[in-house]
Amino acid sequence: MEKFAYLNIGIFFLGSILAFLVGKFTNRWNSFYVAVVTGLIGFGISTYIALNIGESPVVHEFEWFKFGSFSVPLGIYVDNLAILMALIATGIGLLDIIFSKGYMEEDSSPHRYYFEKLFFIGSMVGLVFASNLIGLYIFWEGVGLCSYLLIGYWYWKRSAAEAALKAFVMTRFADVFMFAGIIVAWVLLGTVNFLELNALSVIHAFSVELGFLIATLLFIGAIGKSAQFPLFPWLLDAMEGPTTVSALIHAATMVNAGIYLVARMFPFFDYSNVLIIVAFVGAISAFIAATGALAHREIKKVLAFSTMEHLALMFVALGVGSAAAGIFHLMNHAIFKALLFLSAGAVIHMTHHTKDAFKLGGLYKFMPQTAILFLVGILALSGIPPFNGFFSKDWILAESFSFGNPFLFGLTFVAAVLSVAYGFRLWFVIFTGNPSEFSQRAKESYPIMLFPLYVLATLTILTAFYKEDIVHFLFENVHEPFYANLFVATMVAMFVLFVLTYFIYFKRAVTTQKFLSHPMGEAINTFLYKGWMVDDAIKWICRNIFYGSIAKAVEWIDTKVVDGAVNGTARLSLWCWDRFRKIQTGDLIHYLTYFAMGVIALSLLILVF
Amino acid sequence: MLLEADVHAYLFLSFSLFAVGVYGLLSRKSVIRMLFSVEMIINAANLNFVIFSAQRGIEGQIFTFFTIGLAALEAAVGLAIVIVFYKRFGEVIPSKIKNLRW
Repeated sequence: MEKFAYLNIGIFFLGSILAFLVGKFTNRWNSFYVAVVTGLIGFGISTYIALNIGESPVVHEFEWFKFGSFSVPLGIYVDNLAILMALIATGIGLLDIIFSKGYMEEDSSPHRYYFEKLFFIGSMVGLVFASNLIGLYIFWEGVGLCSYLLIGYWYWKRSAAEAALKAFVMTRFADVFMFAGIIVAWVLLGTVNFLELNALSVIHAFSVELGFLIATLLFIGAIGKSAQFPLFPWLLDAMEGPTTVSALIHAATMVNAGIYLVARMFPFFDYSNVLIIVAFVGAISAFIAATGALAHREIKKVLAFSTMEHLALMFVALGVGSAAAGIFHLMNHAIFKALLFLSAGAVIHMTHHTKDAFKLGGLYKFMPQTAILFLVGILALSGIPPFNGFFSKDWILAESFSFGNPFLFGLTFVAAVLSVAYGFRLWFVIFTGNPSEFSQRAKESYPIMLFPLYVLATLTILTAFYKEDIVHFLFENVHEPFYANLFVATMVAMFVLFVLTYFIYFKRAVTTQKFLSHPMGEAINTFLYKGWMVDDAIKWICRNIFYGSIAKAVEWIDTKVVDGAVNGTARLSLWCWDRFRKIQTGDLIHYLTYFAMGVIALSLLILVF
Repeated sequence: MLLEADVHAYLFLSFSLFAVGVYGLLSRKSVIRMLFSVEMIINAANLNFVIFSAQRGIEGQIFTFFTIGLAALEAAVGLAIVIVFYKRFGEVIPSKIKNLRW
């Protein structure tokens, strides 16, 4: 069985290279067929493992390299959680690859695109299959590299290049902390294996403080990857990449890695008292993201904020102690967010890359199928039954309610119900109203783009009915709290918000014009639009604290002390040369005089001693 | 066998010759005169050979002949250099020829 797991990782790396070479040396679109075949095989293997995994997880350990007594272990550990993540990555990745054929039709280098895509999926599969932190970290960086390459795929656009750099630097900043956490765990606990770490925490083999340190450092890495407060601004800029890339990043791969890490080390985090931090970071992020999504104009950025909010909800679920709710929501979110991003991609592609939702309108007439599919995604996102988002989101709300912290629950509740408002706002703005000049040229998407959308929409509805099976597949005996009054409150809040959105953006009975023209209203809008100014705060901190003092101090030491020593040596030798050259007159008599003086001095020395 | 006092006298003569040579080497301006001074230094050394071989009863004089031979060669080569020197620079005063200076 472990051979299949290795094959599942390897097939993507093999396929990525093959896709590149095939696209490079034959017709460049042949790389698409290679990618689809690779994706199909990868998904097939994942399905095969999932069906045959049985009760005990697949474990295989080996030694990567050895240096004296220092040995680096690697290995795979595939349990139900890992295989579910792999199914999401490969399944949605495959649909994304198919969709890309339509979306990237005008692209001149699809082989590069498919190489990076497959590499991305392969890294994610490797990440979830890794049995220890070292293996996880290797693929973690692989995912980070691919996100950099893909966000900056249109590298000739300055904004895309900068966005890629930002994503890379920000996630890397977080990874430094994570790496520190791995080192601390390795040195002080002597192991990096997930199972052993969790086992150690279960038997209380180390102090809570040490566990707190390690878990916090690891969690900072997760914050960076999963774009949580305060390291989320890269996620919005990442929308510069192709929409299909956004779909892959948001739904199937990179941002889920942080959730996966916390879920994988759940007993460890629990023992170390870090779960409460996880919950609060999640609640704050969810609130910021949900309010920010209300103010944004670009289709993809609204969705990006929405992703951040839903990831934050997963963190809340994990933080309040329900890994099952978090992972179930992760799965549901992956499906409906892929649907949303891909339908947004269809809209953007068919309207010749108009990303601003407010420049569109009335698109329903021109692309009805896409509109309906988009609506399915919005309904799931909002958490309206019977779409899958409802089941997991309500579950998370109930969990956070039963946790008992009013602040935490309040933020989570507001963020969760706001999905309705920004979701329908987006849909109404794009698909209803009067068609703009951009909308009128739009046609229905190609079948190759509609096919993945239909698959995803079907899944969005179907997964809800298999909730029990899926949750049971992941965890034994899950207790799901249910509060009737909470349920009613959620539904009422959502209904009110829906009605408000309906009147503002569908009926246009109330316009936001007046609100926005007021300086106060505009200020609030800008504040929300900029994600609560976190990006500016980070820039300010970087500029004033890191650049202004630390970097300046280091620069001063470098130029004055280090360079000063080097330049001083040169200056000293110059000075010596300047003095000594005076004795080199070229005059024979002078030389003889020195010589005679030297002889006399030597003779005197010999006489005296 | 030379007496101790005679040796001292001869050595003093040798030293005087050496000192005159060194003085001449340092004070003369012309290369020709400097060559003469070098000859004097060499002869001071020769004198020492002769004195010590006479005192100790060993055949040290033979070195004197070598030295005289070498001095002759040195003088020939030196004079050749001086002639080239003169042809090239028009004089034989080394303090005026400082082309080797940086």
